[in-house]
Amino acid sequence: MKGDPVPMGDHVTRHCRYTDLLIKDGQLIGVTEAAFRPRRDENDGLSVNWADFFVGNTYHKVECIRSVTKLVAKSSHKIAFLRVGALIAAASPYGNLTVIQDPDDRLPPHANAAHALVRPISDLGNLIVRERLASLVQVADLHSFQ
Amino acid sequence: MTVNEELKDKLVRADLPPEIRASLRLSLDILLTAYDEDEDPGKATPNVQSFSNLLEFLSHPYIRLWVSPGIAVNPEGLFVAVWEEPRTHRWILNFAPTGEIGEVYLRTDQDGRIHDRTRKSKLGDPIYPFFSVANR
Repeated sequence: MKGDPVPMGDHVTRHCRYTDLLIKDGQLIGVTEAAFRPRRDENDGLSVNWADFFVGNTYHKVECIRSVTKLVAKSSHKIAFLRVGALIAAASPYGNLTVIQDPDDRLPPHANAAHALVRPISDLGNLIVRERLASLVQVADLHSFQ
Repeated sequence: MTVNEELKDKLVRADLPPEIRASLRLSLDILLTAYDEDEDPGKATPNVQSFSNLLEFLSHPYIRLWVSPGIAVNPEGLFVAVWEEPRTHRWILNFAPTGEIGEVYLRTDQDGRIHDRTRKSKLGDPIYPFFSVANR
């Protein structure tokens, strides 16, 4: 339900663009703090999708996330998975992040029952918090839109 | 000369070991391709001076012995270099066009607890790594 916390053991995903990607030897190896910078329209919280809202294996969940993504995706863009408990623990020395359910109840194509928010947005203004979150994302946690 | 051409030209002319140059070339190609396809009207152009500063840093007599870093271009167009041992050490260096280098180091314990340190330095300063970066 809107406003309820996303369970600590569940995963959320973040849409990562070219400025968020870390590349070594021409290969994607992770993301940078930029992936967790609040974007222009993110005033209420960092926009993520609740991956475990969907059932099935990771492949199926990635397919579901693709189907509810509203941002324009490019071939270089990635979907980064993070465990909610790890995200909260990583930021804890500097803030008190929470991840809450925030389903978009508008009519399709805007509807997204899996939408969630990472709050408060002010904690994500801290470079160290964002660097800590970026360090959690390993290459296996990154999935393509195509 | 376009910015992409200028960046590649800087790389060709940099005083770097061939392995590092090749690694950076591959990574730069990926980043510039992704930059070109991004339609965000507010996107920042990759900063040539920031890239030059990164190359100068990597040409240092002992830093040139290290394995190649991961690189990124941040939303301001500045180049970022990262050396890491996944889930253990991560050393992030942000290269400003002015020559300042912003550093963040993260060490992750086996229980997942993360410790951090920050440092500011300048191009040309003796910079010691926060962890033992492997040689090539």
